[in-house]
Amino acid sequence: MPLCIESARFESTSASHRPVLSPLTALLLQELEPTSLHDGDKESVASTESIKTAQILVTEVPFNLIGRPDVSPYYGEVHLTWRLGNKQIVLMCFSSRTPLVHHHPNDPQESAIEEATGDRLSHWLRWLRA
Amino acid sequence: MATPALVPNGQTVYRGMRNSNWAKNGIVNYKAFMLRPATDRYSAEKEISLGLTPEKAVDELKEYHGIASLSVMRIHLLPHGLSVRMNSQDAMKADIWGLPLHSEEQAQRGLAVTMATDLAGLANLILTVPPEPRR
Repeated sequence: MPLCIESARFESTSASHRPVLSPLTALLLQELEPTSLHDGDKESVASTESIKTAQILVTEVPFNLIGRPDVSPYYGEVHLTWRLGNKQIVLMCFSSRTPLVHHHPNDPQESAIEEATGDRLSHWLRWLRA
Repeated sequence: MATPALVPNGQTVYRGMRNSNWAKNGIVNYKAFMLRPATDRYSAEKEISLGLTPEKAVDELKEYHGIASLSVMRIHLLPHGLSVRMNSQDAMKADIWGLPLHSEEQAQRGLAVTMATDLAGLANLILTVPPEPRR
């Protein structure tokens, strides 16, 4: 398992400046390759832009939070879903808009959505484990 | 056109898993209850289609990956104002009314994922179809 792999964010860096990624992050980036992201019904293909957005965001999440989300295309978008008990986080990456992160606690009245950044995604992943 | 009648609360309804990523490890997820956007082949969905029997839930699908059952009463009890109504074309089908149409707009998407997650939480996978072995 390579610990240092290319991602969209770091394509332009020299080898000595490439970050070392955790095995889980490296696995996740492999799942986020266009060739891995295909869907059973063939209607749902992730766009290159949405895949790049997802790749960038996951490399901004600390190693200990990344876990093993479910990764799937959704009508041009890429969705990453983390679940623990009744809690759920969905990261939605689009072609032409800021990504969104939705969190869903036990009480549906308290679920909410906001624009996703590496920091906010990390915040909600901490919340998931709390 | 008159609004179709509500399906009685005592009824169980069934959702066909059209897509393999709608359920993982025996658990139905929110994608099974998100309205589809318009595509080259289909117009945008306005309701979620259900069967009143497991067979009717999948009879129009070219392929399916399982069937989930849901209690109508529990759908009606969700705090979202959803209703399960008879399908006007087929007496053995029903539809969930009240879900937000597909949109990338933040508030609309948030509502759609919240409602779809709550519906998925009510769904029990009663039949799974194993993937065909790779050749």
